[in-house]
Amino acid sequence: MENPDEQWVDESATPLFDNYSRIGGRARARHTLSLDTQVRAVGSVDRAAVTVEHAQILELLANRWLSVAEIAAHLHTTMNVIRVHLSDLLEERLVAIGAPSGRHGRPSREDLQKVINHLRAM
Amino acid sequence: MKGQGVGPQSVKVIVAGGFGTGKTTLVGAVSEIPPLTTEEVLTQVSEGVDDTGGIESKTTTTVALDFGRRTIASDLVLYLFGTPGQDRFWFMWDELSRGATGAMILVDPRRLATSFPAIDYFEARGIPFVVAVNLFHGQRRNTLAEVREALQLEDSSVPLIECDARDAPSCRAALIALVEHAMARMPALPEAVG
Repeated sequence: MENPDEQWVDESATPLFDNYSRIGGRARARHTLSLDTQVRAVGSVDRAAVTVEHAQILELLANRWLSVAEIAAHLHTTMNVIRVHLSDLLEERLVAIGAPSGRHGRPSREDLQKVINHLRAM
Repeated sequence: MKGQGVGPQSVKVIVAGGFGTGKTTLVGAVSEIPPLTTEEVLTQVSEGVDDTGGIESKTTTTVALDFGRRTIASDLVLYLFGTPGQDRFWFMWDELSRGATGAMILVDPRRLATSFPAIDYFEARGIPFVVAVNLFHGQRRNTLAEVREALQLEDSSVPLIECDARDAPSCRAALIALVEHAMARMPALPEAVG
């Protein structure tokens, strides 16, 4: 910046800027990841060999399934950015995705009955 | 698909309604974690404004979503997603609706009209929904029959229930009514529908 006193971007804009620079300006993920698609870390990885963001995601997803929306919320970033990171991690086979609740993975009648039973027992 | 695991099945429920109808309160009453907020940045290509010689004009909007989760079993998770406050983010509603089991439309009996867009949306898409009249603000002034009449629900089998978003058992009862309604709407042979 020519004039360091000139505030051309405010603090609230900084995280978004960082996020998009870290994903190479890409905003479109290559995999279809719904809000509730379940993701989990798989395999072992050399932490030094992945980016800080990928390491954070893999740590969050170690030994548990979390939805795309939860990953974004826990890491305080947008779902767009998380989807791009997850696409990269999928390509590198460092995460696995579970059955989506899309057209082919809708919950069964038995699943819904379990939800009802659970809510009744709460 | 590459990298496909088994993973838990998710059940997605949408909590809709006008601004200030108690959506986040209801999500919090059922969620095992304090409701989380996440954001999606939406990019829209402006259409038909003027001819800029192939240069697309884009605008971006950030939409915030509140949601909660309830682990039903090791292989089954319930997610409750509140719709964005502004009705104009319909593309976000489309994403929320994909694969959703159903929607609960919260209605403020003093401001019924704020819930009309949500009712129209789910009616038009054939997504099972229930209408929950939130008694958040105390005594209701209308009978449920009057509310049903005012809402002009196309389908008389749509459950219309009362609930108090601050009261967890009341929220759970409303949610149970929704899941039961969604089950009743399922095809007899669920495997036959892809």
